[in-house]
Amino acid sequence: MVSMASLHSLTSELHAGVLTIAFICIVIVALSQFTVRYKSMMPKRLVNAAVRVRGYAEATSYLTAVAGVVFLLLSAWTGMYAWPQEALLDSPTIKNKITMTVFATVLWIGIVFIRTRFGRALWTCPAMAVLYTLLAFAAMGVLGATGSLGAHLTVGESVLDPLWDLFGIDIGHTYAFEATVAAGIALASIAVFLLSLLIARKYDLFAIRLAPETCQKFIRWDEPKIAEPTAIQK
Amino acid sequence: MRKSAAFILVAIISGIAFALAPSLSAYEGGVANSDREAGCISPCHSVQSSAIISMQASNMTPDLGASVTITVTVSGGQASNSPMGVLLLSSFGASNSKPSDAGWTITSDPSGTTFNFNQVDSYAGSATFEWTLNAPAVDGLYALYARIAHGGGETYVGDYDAGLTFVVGGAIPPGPPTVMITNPTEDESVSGDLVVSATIATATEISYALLSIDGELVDNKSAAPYLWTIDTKTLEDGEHTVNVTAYDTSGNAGYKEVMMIVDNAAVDQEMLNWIYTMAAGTVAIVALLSLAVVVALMIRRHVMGKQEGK
Repeated sequence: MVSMASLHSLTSELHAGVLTIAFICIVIVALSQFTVRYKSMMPKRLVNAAVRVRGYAEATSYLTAVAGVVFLLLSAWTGMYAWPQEALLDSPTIKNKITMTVFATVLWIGIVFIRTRFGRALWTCPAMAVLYTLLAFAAMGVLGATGSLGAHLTVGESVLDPLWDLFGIDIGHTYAFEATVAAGIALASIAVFLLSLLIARKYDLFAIRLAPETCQKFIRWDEPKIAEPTAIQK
Repeated sequence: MRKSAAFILVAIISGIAFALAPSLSAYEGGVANSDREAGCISPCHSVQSSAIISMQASNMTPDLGASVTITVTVSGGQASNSPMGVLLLSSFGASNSKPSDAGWTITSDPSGTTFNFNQVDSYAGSATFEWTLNAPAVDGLYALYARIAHGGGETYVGDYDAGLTFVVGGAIPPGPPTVMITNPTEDESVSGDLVVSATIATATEISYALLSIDGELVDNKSAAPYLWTIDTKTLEDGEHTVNVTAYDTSGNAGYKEVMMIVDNAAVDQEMLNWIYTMAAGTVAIVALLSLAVVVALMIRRHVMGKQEGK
């Protein structure tokens, strides 16, 4: 019978690998969009390659982000059963890892949500494309921190240790706010969320459908799709 | 051209993923040689190992500061070709459990350094670990224990909890048994399940040993190891007296008391704070994300409005 520890190792490797691919693909699409946007200053071969690559990379990023979120949730589930619960909650490093896993999951779900809601046309809107790319960096950063904590639990060290030292973070200490501070943050966040909904409703933002015919004609950021041979720039 | 672009894409992604993979890896390669407490060995090892552990010492009655060689032998167990680590301890407490906490000085370990945790990377059915230590500088009874941790499908753990008891600085005096409580230590803050451990030395033979907390009998044992697991949540938070009394076959009694501080409330509050922090952080991320999306759409609306106005 396969143990939960083995399954946890498997799902951990899967989510880390798949989400790394998703992140790399998002960065590739962002760079390709930039290349195509300023194609007059770029070598023609590079522009042609960017047009082709971004179509594949965009589709890959979406699929791998969805798969990565599924593996991330599976990894969290198997992790809860891989070790006895009382032992799990005894270790500050494991508690920090659980916290970071929760945050990474929320951020990656955010990425999947934005891509699902706006489609690949999100790349035609510069503000949304920048937000999407920054979100990918944040999600990958938190995921990397989670992986580093996991590496500490298994091998006792991580290649990201210099970063922890640089910021003076002691991963052997549980990071938590006082209950009142946490409640304040939660209340303020709920207020921000409600405010966002109110603004969206007032300006009818829920109805917006990003598409090439909206942003593209003004800003000339193409929708990244798998290019037909005839569409390639000669 | 299309195939070339796809090939380049795959090559780039594979290369970067390969480069990033080590930092995200959950590879189980054991724990590096280091100084460690008896607490949770990362990752927490929980399944009882079938390995047989034995401990031997070159001298059980060393002079003050004299050199003692401890040999820990491990055989059998499930760790076929995976790491096998051994921890040399002065107690099984979550803190102050290293030999140095009891006054010992490690002068060499199996890897030529001075750590109390050492491992072999690929265990092949048996292994021997040898430490050389200088005995404490104060007369008394001192105990050393060994704990193993290894992989092999599960996270296995095993203890040599009988330990070795040393009489440092002199012979066992005739008279009542001498009791040493190795866990908890004096004024130690404890919570949750607690293992009370005692080492008893006597010139004759121990008949039985009693554990009492605040004067109330908890349990008795007639043979070593003298270990008791108690749930501190059954006690009120605050100071409590732990007493171990040993009787030898001649009817002589010896005892030792330590004060411990039960603090389950602080642990519970810390746990609640952690959960609140996770919840608040999650809500904050969702809120900030919503705000960022709204801002992005407002920027788009603003830019398009300006463009259409021209």
